[in-house]
Amino acid sequence: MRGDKWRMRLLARLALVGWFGLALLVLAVLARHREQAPVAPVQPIDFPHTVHADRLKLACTFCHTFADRSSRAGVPPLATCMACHRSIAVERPEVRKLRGHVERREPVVWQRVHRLPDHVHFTHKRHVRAGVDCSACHGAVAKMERTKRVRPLTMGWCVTCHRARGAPTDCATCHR
Amino acid sequence: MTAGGRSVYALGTPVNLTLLKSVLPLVLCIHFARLGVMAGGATAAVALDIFGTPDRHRGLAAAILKRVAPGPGTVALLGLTAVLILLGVQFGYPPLAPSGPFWAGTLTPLLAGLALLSLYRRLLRQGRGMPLRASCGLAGIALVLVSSFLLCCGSGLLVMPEKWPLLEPVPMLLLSWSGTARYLEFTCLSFAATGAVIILLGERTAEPEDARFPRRLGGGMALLFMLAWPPVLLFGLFNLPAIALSGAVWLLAAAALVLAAILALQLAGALIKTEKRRALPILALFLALFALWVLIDHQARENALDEASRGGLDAVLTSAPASEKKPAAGMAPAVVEGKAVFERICAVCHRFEVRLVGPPLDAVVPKYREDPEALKAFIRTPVKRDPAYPEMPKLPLTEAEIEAVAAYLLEKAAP
Repeated sequence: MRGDKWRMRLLARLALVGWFGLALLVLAVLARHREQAPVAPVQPIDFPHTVHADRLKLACTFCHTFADRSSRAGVPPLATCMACHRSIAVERPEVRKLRGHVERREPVVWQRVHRLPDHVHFTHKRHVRAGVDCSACHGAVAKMERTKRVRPLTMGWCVTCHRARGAPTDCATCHR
Repeated sequence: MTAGGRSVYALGTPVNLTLLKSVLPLVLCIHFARLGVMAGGATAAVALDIFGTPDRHRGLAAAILKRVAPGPGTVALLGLTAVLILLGVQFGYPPLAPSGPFWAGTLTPLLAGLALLSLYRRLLRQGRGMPLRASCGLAGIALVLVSSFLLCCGSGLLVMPEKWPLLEPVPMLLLSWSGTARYLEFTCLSFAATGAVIILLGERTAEPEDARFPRRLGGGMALLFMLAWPPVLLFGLFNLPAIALSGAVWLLAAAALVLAAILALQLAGALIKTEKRRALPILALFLALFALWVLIDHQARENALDEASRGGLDAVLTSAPASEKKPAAGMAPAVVEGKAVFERICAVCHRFEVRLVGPPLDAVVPKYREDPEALKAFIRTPVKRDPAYPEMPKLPLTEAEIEAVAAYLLEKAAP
């Protein structure tokens, strides 16, 4: 009888530990899942926007040349980087890494930071030409040591802004 | 949307921000812990009053209310902490300064709820006016919970800076899943902590017979809400915006879950082994759990509100359409286009009067006056001429842009 009571108490305690253990497990899965889609992925070359966009004040379109004329802003080809880095800051480790890629004729596999679902038709050109500053959607990139996504890029957020600015909200504007 | 060159979305000065960062979580912890125990205690008391027997349960209801319900000191503390929280947001996060309706909507139900609970406490002590008394208590609880809901949902906006510029056109943004989850977490923690207070009341009773019911009621209530808390916490974390999450948030959440597990084991112990006094350590653990909960919230807020994410908020509703840039009078269209290309691309390295990365243009462009084609050829395929300067890169310019920028350079450079 006494043994039964003791066993029941032990079972109750184990059930409690199990419940909170399960919660910890779910927490770990949640953390891992979010880590796989990080807001600031590690890049193969540690490119500092703080130097180029903040200190040197390079315009965004200097490197992302297609932002105002195409749907994609474009990641600059290595030739654009090498145009300056053939003679500037050539001894910096990250610039050496860059030169290594050029010499080996091996592309740099940049990790994408901003990704929209396939069913969204977004064009940079329309937004830039409507006078939307890059920072409205990308945040203060010039202040980022490593580029990160600071806006949710969800439909609700886009539509709220479209409404506020009087931009079209017809489904076919973004979904084709 | 800048005020005197300063972004309207800038936070306070570094000194007062640091101060706020240390004081606000503390005030939030005191406010929510005290308010939570009060709302939970009042609910337990009203439930005992309505469903219990007068001789057996009303005494306990009155004892619970005496401990948790508002006397003048509690009203002053809760009113003051609520005002401090709103002031903290007003000055620490100016872009989200609570509007008049928000101040009124948060404080009015809080104060009205406290007044009604105070009245309920008096009526219960006198044992009078049952239906009116119960309605009075229920209305008081509802009002206090409404005030907490508004405060929790409002604080949810602090981790979503991207919504700040759009708040005015869409006030419904106040309702968010992460704010709702925060409110549910608060409710679970509050009712669980109330259970611990009821256990304490039982332990303070002289008669062991009288101690059994409060211990069972309090222990059961605390354990039930403690078990309900982890799913709500996970729901809240799931709904937090990605920019608010970090290793520190996950670690704090894991620490909170471990602490909650220890608490649950202690509560189970209190239910099983009745001879040992455990209420005070349990209450201390609850206070620590409230503090951890506020810290998770604080860390998430800090992550979401860095300079990079606040940057660009001014630009969301303002625009500088290309059509606004009026060309200078008398400029040929090609020169106007060339000026735009120059400002976008060439000006990164060149000025007309001074040396920057490249040479001053006033010194080099005049050499091409007789031969504009050579200038265009140079822009098309730059060649290193002067060893004192780095080599000019080949730029991604179209033929029309090269034509235009050459025209602009020849027009603008010194003769």
